[in-house]
Amino acid sequence: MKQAMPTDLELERMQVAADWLIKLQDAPEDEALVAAWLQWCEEDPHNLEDFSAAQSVWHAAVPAPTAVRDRVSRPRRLLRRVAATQRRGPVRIAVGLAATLLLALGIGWTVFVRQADELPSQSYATAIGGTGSALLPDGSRVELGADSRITTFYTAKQRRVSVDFGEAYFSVSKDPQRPFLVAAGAMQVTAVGTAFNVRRHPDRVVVAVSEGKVELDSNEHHDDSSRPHEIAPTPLQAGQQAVYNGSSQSIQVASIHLADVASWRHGVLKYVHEPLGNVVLDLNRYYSKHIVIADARLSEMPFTGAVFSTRIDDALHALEGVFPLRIQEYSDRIELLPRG
Amino acid sequence: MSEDRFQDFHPSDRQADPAESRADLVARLFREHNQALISLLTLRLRSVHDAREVAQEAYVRLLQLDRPDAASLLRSYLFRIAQNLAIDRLRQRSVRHRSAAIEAELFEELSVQDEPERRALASEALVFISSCLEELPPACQRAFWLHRVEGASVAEIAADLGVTDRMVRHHLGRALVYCQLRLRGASKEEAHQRLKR
Repeated sequence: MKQAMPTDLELERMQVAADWLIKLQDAPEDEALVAAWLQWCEEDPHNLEDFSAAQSVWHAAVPAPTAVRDRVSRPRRLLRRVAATQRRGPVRIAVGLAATLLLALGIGWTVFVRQADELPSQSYATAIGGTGSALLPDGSRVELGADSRITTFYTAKQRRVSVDFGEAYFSVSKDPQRPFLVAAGAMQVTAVGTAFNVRRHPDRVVVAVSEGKVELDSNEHHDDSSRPHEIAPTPLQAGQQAVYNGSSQSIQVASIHLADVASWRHGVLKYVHEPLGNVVLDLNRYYSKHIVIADARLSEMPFTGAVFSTRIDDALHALEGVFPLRIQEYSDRIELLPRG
Repeated sequence: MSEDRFQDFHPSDRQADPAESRADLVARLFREHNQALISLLTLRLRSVHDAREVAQEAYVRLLQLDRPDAASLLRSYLFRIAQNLAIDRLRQRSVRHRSAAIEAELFEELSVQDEPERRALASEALVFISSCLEELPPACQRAFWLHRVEGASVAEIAADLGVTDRMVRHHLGRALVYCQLRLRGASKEEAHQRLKR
């Protein structure tokens, strides 16, 4: 099996996108050219996706990789993190790494591995501070928060997607013959035709539904065998949010405003009684400096409020007024410390 | 290029609700144009990391800018500020220092992997893309080599190959689209067939 070949029209768009890349590389300071390019980007959302794909390939296509291997500079957090979270077989590691290499720009795709009676796995990832959206092979759409990655494992019978880290909002295309399953750590979400958001933290999964309904369940493919994760089947409908807590292994369901289900898509991160430590994990996905919260008591304090993902500086300083903490800035990180 | 020209291309912008604050407008700009901005900056700076830093700084400056709040104007300011910051950064950087910045970012990851098996597989994925280039006609290969590795402009490559600029762009575009078709699972023959015209 292979990914669908582009239609003639799509092929033409890929060629136009490549031509834009080459023109812009020659004269990136030409404002008239940039203006025309932006207009082209706006004409069709696929245009920029194709442009980014061409750009990724341009960067990845280095004739002699060994020649540059010795030139190593600073470590990159995103790539490190991918490596650290990989706990799969070597084949999938290759997919994940290749994906990350290709997808350093916005969002993109990759296909490298074919397995018997499975479609190729594909990973979609975003960098720190960058969100993106993509059409999945079945026509469902995913919007990815910053510093997030999903991987699809589609077969003829089911559409399996794993949220590897970060946050994703799915608009699922209807196909009753082929359920859409999203795994996030210990939890599995089953949908038929619906829209919902999944946010994964190391010990916590938050699922919120904006359309239709989903069913929550244990993820039997979860590879953390150190302890059993039994999640009782839980239905969840539009306007509801479920929080799974890994340490207490409990699910709490509450209602949520539809507009708040994935407000991060509009640059607003909203929380109700979210432990500050988890909020900081999210902020790190959007912020260039690493934010550290080492104090356990501070991490546990519940935060309720909204943060603009483009104004995290302001939000951090606002925290000083609300919580008993102070902010210590270093060149490479920001620490939140208990105050007096 | 005149400033007017840069603003002109977005004449029919939905004029924002007057109550929409500067912060909301900037948040909207981020949402609608961040990917394009990062792409453009990456192209100039040859580093995704630097592109993100410059973009972030541009948003911060935009928030502080004492200018009207019309969304269409803000967008042209955003791109102008970002372009100027990119120029500053290019000046600061010594030419040698970061000329291969993005390669270093890509390949350092391969070199920090300590499991040999993983390293082999990861580089295999990149080698696949690069090996696709070798399936292209010699002139096309040479054009891509000059562009990608030597950093030559389209005009320089045209002079080297003794063809028109248009032909060079055709070669380069063909190389990029060919690799994408191969990545999507097309065989050599299929990919060549699709690109015949």
